Amino acid sequence: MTGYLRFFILLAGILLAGNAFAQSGQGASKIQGASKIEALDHQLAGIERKIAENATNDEQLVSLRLELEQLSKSLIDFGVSFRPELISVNGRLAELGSAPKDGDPAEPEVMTQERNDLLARKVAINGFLSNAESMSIRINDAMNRIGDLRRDLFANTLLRRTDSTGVFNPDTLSSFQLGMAELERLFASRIQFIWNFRKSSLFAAIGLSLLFSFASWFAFRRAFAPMLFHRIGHEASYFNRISIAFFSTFVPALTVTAALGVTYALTIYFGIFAGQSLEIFRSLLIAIAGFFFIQRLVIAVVVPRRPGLRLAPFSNSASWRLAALAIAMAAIHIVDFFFDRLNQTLSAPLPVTVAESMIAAILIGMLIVLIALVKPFPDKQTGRSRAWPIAIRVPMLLLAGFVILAAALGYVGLARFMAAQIVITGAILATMLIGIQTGRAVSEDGALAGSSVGVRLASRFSFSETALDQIGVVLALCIYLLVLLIGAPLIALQWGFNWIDITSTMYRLFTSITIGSFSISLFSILLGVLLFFVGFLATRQLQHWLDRNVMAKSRIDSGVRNSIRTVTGYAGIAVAALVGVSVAGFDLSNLAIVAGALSLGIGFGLQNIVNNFVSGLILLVERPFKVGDWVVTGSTTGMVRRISVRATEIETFQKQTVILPNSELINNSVGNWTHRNHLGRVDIAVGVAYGSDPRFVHGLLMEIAESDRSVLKVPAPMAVFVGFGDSSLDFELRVHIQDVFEGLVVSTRLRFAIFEAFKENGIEIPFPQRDINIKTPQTAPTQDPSHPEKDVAREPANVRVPPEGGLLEGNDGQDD
Amino acid sequence: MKAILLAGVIAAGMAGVAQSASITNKDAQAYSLLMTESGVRSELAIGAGASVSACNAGCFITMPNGDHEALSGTETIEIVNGKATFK
Repeated sequence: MTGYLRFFILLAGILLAGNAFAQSGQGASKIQGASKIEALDHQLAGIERKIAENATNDEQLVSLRLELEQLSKSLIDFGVSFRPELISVNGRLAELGSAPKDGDPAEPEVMTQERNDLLARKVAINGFLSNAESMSIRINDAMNRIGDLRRDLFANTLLRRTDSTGVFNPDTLSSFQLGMAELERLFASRIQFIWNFRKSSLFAAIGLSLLFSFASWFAFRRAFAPMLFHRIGHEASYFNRISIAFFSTFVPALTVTAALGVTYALTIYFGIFAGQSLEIFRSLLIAIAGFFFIQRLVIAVVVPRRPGLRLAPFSNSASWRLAALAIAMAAIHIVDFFFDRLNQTLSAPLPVTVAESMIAAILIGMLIVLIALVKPFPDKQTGRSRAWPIAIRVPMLLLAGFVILAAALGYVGLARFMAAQIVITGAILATMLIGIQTGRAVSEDGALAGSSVGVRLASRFSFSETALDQIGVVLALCIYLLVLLIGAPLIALQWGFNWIDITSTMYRLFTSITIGSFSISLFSILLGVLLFFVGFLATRQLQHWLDRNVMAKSRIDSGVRNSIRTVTGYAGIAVAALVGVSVAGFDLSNLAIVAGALSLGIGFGLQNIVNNFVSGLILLVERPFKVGDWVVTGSTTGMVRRISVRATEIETFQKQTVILPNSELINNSVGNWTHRNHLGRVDIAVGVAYGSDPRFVHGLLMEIAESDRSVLKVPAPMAVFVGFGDSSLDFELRVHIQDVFEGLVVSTRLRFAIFEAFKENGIEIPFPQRDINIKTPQTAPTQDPSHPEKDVAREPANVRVPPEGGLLEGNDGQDD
Repeated sequence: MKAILLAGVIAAGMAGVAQSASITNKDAQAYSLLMTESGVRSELAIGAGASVSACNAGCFITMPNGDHEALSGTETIEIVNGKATFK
């Protein structure tokens, strides 16, 4: 008894503990949800506070905006994370059913308790979700606030005017000198510190970075040597030029960037620089990398030394000038950037920064003017050079003038902004132009065929020249699209739109353009076209595979193979088209209504076409003739060359191709000389003169037939005595031959043989024979008593002339 | 072969990018749901038996029965008797 009691107490205890545990577990998740949302709220409040603090710091505002975007995503994830719990709570509530109404028997306490708990939990979750929702609204407000602050900041910077007298006075110069002295002092003390205490680190850092630089330099050279300038001949195709430009720009730039990055990392690691000196060092490295990249880019585009490699048709002198000017502009830009960083790090006084910006902006403006005045395109006819097109030259001059004016008047922020925009937007536009040039080069006739990619494609898929040209055009379109897709967002970014806006706009543009109640999705259409293309290629591959592997192994003849291949082709293309259309999102049900209305008219119009098409299918299946047969239809006789959807091509022996609609071949009778076999019969009719021995002639004919090498023994040749002709005894020699195409040759040979044999044996082949009876008049009275008016003597002789084409009956032909 | 594979990969990628949540109203009455997308409140009207695509970048929706839901943009939802069921 005590044993049972103890056991029972233990069990109760475990159950209670478990219950408590479950409760606390639930309570824990309740707390978990609450704590999470509290943490998010805390984060949001922090960001909102920082926005207020950093109202004048553009960089901070940008990073705060990024934080807000992250927070928004976390909120959504937080909300979604409750879904499984919500689903299970709802499910359990549905199982429990609703609470009993008044008057119904009460339910167990446990059920009521559970229901209440579940409802409470649901309320809590809903509370969290609505909390998250309102937080997302706060986030949106905060982002809008950031946008406003940045806009104000920007406008202030742009429109702030500094009086030039305030800038260009001796005070500024002395401030500048002071600043330079301070810089010197900073670096001198730093270097001394390093030299005294960190010599080994310094050497290690220098040594390692040099090592890395040299190693990457050699690696680059080895890997891309074939692509470098000096290995390519003079006149290269546009492809080659682009790839050379690409490799000679990006790869060295990447190498240099990597080397500098490693140097920077080593500097930090070994503690060579720190604080201000580190920031200045970093700015210096960035400046070097940027200059190197731009210098490479400019040289790669204009290539002063090698006219054959230029990406644009500049004259030689213009190339040198443009290269110099562009590099100078980049240099000034970068020096300006470096000084700007320097001023920020050292907190230089305002007049110094303004003076520096002013000088930089004016210099850049002048350089832009100089570039606009260059005459880059050589004119072969006149020998002089043509300037830039007006559409480019005039805006450039205007903008450059604007920049200089703004800087001179003191609107330094504006001048700097405009200068930066001109340079960078110009660079992006120039790159886009090069991209478009590439597209044009690809779409030229024969361009794709000549390149290595084209050769590989041609051999792999056996494309013809025209097919390659078409592919070139498609490729060109893709390149244009790519240029647009990359260039437009870049320019938008440059002009201050942020990334999220750009991506969401493009996304909306692609997925749904709503016109009225129609919604077109460019994505879907492209996808549909792509899938159709894939299906088409797959069908081709399937056809080839079937033909090569399945049918070549089994000994099906070529006609059947052709049929199967064609039918597979049709089926594959039909499937691909259906898939493509459905993926593209076209609602075929709408089409069905229209099609129903038009079907009557279309039906009548397409009657014949469908007739031909179905006839074509029947021809393919039933195969009354196959490709290569000699057929006779109506008035056409020739070899079948192609059986296609609507018509069959027959090539006559005069090499004319007659295209017969299939319906005619099905509905009318078609004679096929080579349907089951190639046997043929040659009939040679010959007449011998009356007076010849028919049996001798018969024997002669049989002999000739049997001695000919092409005449078959089975069925045996036959010499037939067909009849007693008007002029001759008619015989016919009928022989069978192996190949009906030999018919003419064999009959000619036999005729020669017959002629010679007859000649040898003296048998005549007569001309058409006529008997002429001439009755001479007698001396008796010439008057016929019954016909007094007639004079017998004057009656013509009784010459019987046979009617046209006929032979006289009766008398034998008399020969000598 | 490579061309087909490449094309297929591109197709799959494009199909993956173009996505949004789809909500189908299986009830006989039209609903107007309160939706907060990227912190902007709006109303989403779904007719009886109709289906809409919405919410590409995550949103909070209030169902007709008062439930709050958080969507991330890849869900398929059916509204039955005012309640949302996820497919």
